[in-house]
This record gives sequence, structure tokens and C-alpha cells, in this order.
Amino acid sequence: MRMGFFGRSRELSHEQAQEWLSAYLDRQLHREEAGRLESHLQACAGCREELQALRATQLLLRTLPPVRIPRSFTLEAAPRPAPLPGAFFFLRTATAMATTAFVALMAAALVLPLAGAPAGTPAAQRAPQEATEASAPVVAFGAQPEAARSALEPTMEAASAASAPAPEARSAATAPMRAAPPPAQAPAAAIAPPAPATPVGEQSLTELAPTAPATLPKVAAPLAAAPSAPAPPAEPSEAQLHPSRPMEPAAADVAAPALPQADVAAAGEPPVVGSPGVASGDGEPDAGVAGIGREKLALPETAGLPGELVESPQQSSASLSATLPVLQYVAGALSALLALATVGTWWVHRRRHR
Amino acid sequence: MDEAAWIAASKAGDVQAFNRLVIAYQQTAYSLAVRMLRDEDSAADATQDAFLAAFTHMNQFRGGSFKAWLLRIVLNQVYDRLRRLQRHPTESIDALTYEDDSPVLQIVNGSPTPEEVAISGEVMACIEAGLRTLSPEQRATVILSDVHGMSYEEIAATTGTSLGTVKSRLNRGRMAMRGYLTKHTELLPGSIRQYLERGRLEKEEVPDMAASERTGP
Repeated sequence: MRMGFFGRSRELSHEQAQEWLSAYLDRQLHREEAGRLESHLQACAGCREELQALRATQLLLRTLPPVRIPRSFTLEAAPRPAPLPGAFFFLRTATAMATTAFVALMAAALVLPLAGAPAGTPAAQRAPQEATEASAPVVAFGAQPEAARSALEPTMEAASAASAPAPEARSAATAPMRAAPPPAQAPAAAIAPPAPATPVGEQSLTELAPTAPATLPKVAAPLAAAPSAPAPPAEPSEAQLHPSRPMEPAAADVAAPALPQADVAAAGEPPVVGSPGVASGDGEPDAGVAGIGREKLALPETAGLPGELVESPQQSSASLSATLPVLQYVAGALSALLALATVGTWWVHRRRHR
Repeated sequence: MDEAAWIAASKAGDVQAFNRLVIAYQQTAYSLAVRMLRDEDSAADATQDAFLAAFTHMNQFRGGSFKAWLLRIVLNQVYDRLRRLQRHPTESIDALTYEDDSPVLQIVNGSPTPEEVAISGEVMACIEAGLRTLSPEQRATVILSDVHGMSYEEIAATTGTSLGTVKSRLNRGRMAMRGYLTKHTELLPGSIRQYLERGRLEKEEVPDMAASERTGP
């Protein structure tokens, strides 16, 4: 309501009064508003005449006689479409919601790794691509020590270079990964001295070769379950890493309980501890475990470890990465089923009433 | 007439029950469509499509005013056709066919004069032409209110807008109509002309106007 100047508050302006005329005619104004308009009308002849002209217009419109319909609009009985069942409308809405949830979860899978991804090493960035194409990292691991070593060295250099930024990268990573530094640092410290030594690396490799089947599963499983954003690639890379391991399917499941084991393994077996670091080229998750054993398991890493093997043995990050793919599958399956049900309902309805 | 029973039966797919609803509302539906579109063929198509759509989607009607729900479907059909016409304008100068026993113009000052009783087609055409100068939304609001006598709430439900929007559109639409009619008063009966120009109203028509009449300047 307009507050006039010079204390004349509540006085209706001419423009406001004009806007209220029709509502006043139809008795749609509140009593207070109607009172204010009537006060204005008493003083404003223009508005009074306008009101009366509007009334005449309204009456004129009311005199318009009904129009004669050209024909009957009743529906024919048989071939007319029957009403779609109420279930159809419900299914249609449910499908839309499920599909939206599915798309959101897929987008979350893409966004999360970007949000938590530290700088990683060039080898780390290479690893994801190699992961998809590497057939048997374990085979390469044991059968090509030379290749491993050559791959190892640049990786080692990258790893040592990255071990410094690793803590920073780790802190920049997602929250669940933040707890990685403490446990990672211990094994990193243990690994650091032998890291630059190629013989040690070789030794680690050979040590690892026989122990790989035994320890890698232990370590890789929790790592694989670690908060890696690309959950789908995680599974294939897991398989690639340990093709012979029957434990693989259970890797995600044992991720959480296996995490403490990883720490134990890391503490107890320095060379094996390097395996957590296997993640080497993995990109973000790698960052945390960057220096740990990256050089040791350079071959399998470059052979195609996924990013997951990295670090944060965090329960929350592990559960997040474990839950996200499950949620995605559930949402995707649900939206597909609902879409099928919606289309099916419509189709059956059309068939029945054709 | 048990509209609720017809509606329930229609939801179950009873075409005969739905046709009872069609018979009850087709006059109103077609009247709205033809005044919006000004073309009888398009209006008939729009009305038929609206009834078909209403029957198909009966299970989406969850109570309230069936008339408002149905007219909303009619308006959607009308707006679709108006949009198409905007892209491909066609000339349509068909005059509307009125019922023979049209109601007499209600004159506010008592018994109508013979001149006023014989409402010529030109007056109706003038009003229809005036409606055409309004925007589609204003036209729909004015028609629903002053031709069909719907309440502001019903109009809001039919057009899917708020009460404030209804008030504003109705006010502007009526003022635009009044301006148009004032410019073409030569077609109107004398008494109507004077009402439009000087707006002399009797107190029994608008009781609350009595006060302002008597206490004029």
C-alpha cells in the first residue's frame, strides 16, 4: 500500500485505485481495501466514471448469448481410447524420479574423483589408461623384470618426486582420504630408504613376485576399495591386477575389514608395504600412498593398476566408493525397470482398447 | 444429475457416463473455444480434442471443480492452436451463430426499450471484435468471468494462475474492452452508449455504489 508523503499514508493513489476497480465490482476486495477505494471514489470523479463504465462493459459481455454448437462432441463408444490407468501416471513419475537419481549418481561418480584428485604423477595419469588395456599385471610383474625395472625407475623418480607433494595432494583429497597420511607415512618412511635402490627394487619385485598372490590380495583389496572415484574402472582394474585371485569378487566387501590388515601388512613387511603404493600411476588416490611402495610395484602399477589401490584406508572413503557403484546399479536398474513398466502399461492398455 | 457418479464411472472407462459429462459441458467448452479462436472449425476441433484428452486423462482428475479442470484442457488446446496460427496466420471472418432465443440485454435502468431488446448482430460482432484486441490471457479471463460467470477462484484454477494475476488480467481486459467499445459506440444502442460514456448506474445493480453516487462532488 502506498504511503503518501506529508503524512497522508493510507491514501490510495489514482493508479492503484484504477487497478482495484474490477475487483471492487466483483466484490473481491478486502473490506479495508474496499473502504480505501470508496474514500478515493468520493474524491475522484474520473475513477467513479471509470468504475461505472467497467460495470456497463461487464453487463454487455454478460449479454452475449450462448453460441450454438455445430455438432455433438460426445465420444464414440467402441474405438475411443479408454482412460489410462492411474498406475500409468504413477509409474511415469516414478520412472522420471529414478532416472534423475541415476543420472545424479553417475554425475557424482564423475565429480568426486575430480574434487579429490591431487596432482599425481605422469605415470599415475598414464596408469588408468594402461589399466584398461593391461591383460595380466601379475604376469608382467613376474615375467618381465627388466621391463618392470625400466618402468620402475621413472616411476620411482616420479614417486619420490611425488612423495613430497603427496601429503599436500592427500590433504587436498576428499575428507575420507585425509586419514591416509598417518598410516601411509609410516610405511612410506620404511620404504623410503630402499626406494632409490634399484637392487632393492628388484629384490622387492622378486620378493613380491612370490608373495604377490598372498599379499597383494590383502593389500590390494582394501586399496581397491579405497575411495577411488572411478568405481567402474576399479573393478576391471582389480581383475587385471589379480586375475587369478578368487578373492576379487569379495574385494569390495572385504575392503573395510581388510583395511586394518593393510596397515598391519604395511607395518610388518616393508617390501610388501610398497604394494599399497602400487597405485603409482593411479592419479588421485595414489597421492596419499605416493611414496610408499610405488617404486616397488611399479610394473604392476603401470601395467594397469587402477587408481584405487592408493591410499586412504579410510572406512568412510572405502564405504563411499563401495556404496556409490552399488547405488548406481540400483538406480540404473530401478529406472530401467520402471521405464519398462510404464511403457508396458501403456502398450497393454492400447492393445486392449484398440 | 449426479456428476460425481458420472466422473467415477468415466474414470473406470465408461464412455456413456463420460458422454453425460460431455453433454453437460460441451456448450461451455465450445463457447470458450470459439470466442478465443474466432474460427468455428478450429474451435470444434479444439473442443473435440479437449474431450478426448479429458477422457484419456480422467484418472488425473483428483476432485475439485470438474468444470475448471475441463476448461483448462480446452484452454490448452486453444493456446496450441493460437500458437500455430501465429506461425501460419489464416483469415477467418465467420460470424458466430447465436441461439435464436438469445437472452435479452439486461438494462440496468428497469424495463428495456424496444431498441434495447432488439440486440443486433452488429453489437455482438462489436463485442467479439473487441475481445479479439485483448491478449489471449486477458481474453480468456474476461470470457470466463463475464461470459461464463466464473468466480475468481475458478478462473485461477482454470488458467493455472494466482488470484492476483486473475484480478490484474480481468481489470486490464475490461478496460481495454471498454476503450474499444467506446470508440465504436455508433453500433451500440443509445442507452448502452450512455452507460459506457457516462456510466450511469442504478443503485439496485451495485448497492455499494449508492454511497459514492450520493456523496459525489
